[in-house]
Amino acid sequence: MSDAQSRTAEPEKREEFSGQLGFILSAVGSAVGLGNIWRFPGVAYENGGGAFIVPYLVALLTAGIPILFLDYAVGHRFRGGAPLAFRRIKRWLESLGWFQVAICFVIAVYYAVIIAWALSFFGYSFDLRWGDDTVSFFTGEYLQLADVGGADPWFTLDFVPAVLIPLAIVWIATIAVLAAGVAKGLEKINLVFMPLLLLAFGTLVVRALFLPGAADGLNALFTPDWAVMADPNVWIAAYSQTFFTLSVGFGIMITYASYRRRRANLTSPGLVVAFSNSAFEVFAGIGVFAGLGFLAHQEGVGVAELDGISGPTLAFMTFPALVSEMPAGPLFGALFFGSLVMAGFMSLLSIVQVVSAAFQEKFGWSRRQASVRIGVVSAVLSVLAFSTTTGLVALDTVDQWANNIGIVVSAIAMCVLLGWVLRRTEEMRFHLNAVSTIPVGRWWTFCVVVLGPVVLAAMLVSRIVSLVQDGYEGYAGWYLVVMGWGTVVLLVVAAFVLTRMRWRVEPDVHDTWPRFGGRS
Amino acid sequence: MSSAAIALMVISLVVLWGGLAASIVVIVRRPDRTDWPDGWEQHEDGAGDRPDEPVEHDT
Repeated sequence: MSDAQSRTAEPEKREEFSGQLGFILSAVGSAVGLGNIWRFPGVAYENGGGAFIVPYLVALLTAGIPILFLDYAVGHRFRGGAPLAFRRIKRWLESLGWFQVAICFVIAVYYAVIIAWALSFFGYSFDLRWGDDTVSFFTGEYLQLADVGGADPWFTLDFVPAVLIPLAIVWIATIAVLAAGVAKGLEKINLVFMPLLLLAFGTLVVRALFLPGAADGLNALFTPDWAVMADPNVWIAAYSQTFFTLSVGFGIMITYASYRRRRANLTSPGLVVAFSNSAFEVFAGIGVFAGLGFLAHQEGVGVAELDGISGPTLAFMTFPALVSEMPAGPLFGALFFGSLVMAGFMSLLSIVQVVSAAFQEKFGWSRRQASVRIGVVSAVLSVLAFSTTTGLVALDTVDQWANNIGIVVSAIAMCVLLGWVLRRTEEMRFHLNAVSTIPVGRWWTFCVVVLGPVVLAAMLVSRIVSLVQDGYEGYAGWYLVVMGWGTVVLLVVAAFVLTRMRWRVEPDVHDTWPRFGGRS
Repeated sequence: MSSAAIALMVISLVVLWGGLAASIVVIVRRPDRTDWPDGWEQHEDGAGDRPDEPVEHDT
């Protein structure tokens, strides 16, 4: 039997978002995640306060939005998830698509665990179960860390039921939503959760603004330090923030754009998505720092003296302490952790959808088969690796390498291969301009071919040097090699193995519209 | 709050929320193109999107 004859599985008709609004809300739901709430405020505070807005805006306009548009063009023009779309550009480029799918898979496996923590804390909010010592509660009573100080033992199979149960709930919900499809599952959840998230977080921010000490927090966040403008690290931090916050460069926006009908506007919705994400980020920063100002006021210290102003420490140690001090604390605790659950869940759906779409397309799986198979495998790995007494250290390490090495390498490879090696960016610009209402000029090509990859490469080199020279969080060197660099090796191996596997459906018969020059 | 902090907060909000408002206005006024490149009719209803589905051209 010939290779072509053996590819008999009939795929379902390609799914589509029901319209512009559904696509925009889903893309915003993907972009607005945990990082908007717990990363941006801390990064801005540590990199010039109010002055950070300047490099942040420059980075948004010269890297975030241009790479977002590149993702849209690839997915929309070549009508597929990352592996299929890249393969249709050039056969060997499929491996870059699988590299992005592998990144999404790894991120999904640990990202679900953070949502499970938030779900637990949502429940704990109602009786402020964390008590007075929120640090001990999170690391001890809740996560039951094997060794809080030195992380030894480094791996156990002692499962923590308080994490395992909400984690199972998160995965069951994810499978159910993705099995329902793009329009009836993914889009509908975003249509409900996005307004709810705005309402819940908006209520929290408005309340925080009227707490005593709120002005001190905002003063700390927005007082400009113009001297930092000359510091290249601040610019790298700004590019890094806009890049990570927009979910670009690792397949999500390629996959989402492929679910838009052919005659669909790309650049105008892209601007709405990018500005929604950034507007929410600044809004979240105001709420978080108003709250931190209140906490500092209650503790009789300066905002600068507070520990844990970003990341999981902010969410699961500092914020519970803040909520305990607030009038109507249980209500605002529930609003905060409910917001984390919703923001995280919408992002998780988009991440898993990348993996699901890729397997549907290559192996001819139905969306239900893909949702269940991928969901179950991911859930089992989540439980084994991250719901144990050593889960926090593993999560922290894998997250550091998957994000700062994996995603950045993926984005650089995409820009360099499309722009420098294959020289297809003019075709992408043509596509964006042929279907969109806001045209992109040659500045866009410069941003994705030159500026974006150069800045991303600087970010990558600086991070690799730091990880190699200083290690990470004082963890053992061998552990970082296995769990950190091992994750990167795993991503590369997975990309090559999945590329080598046989397509169950014919991927290359494809009519590219609109036609560019003599090429279809 | 210091006047500098207030100014930067206002500028940040105006630029980013203003950018959002402006992009929403643009998309509401002109949600889609009306002048599509040739050949779009062949791709209505997702035709040509399925990996195993060749598109037949009449030219």
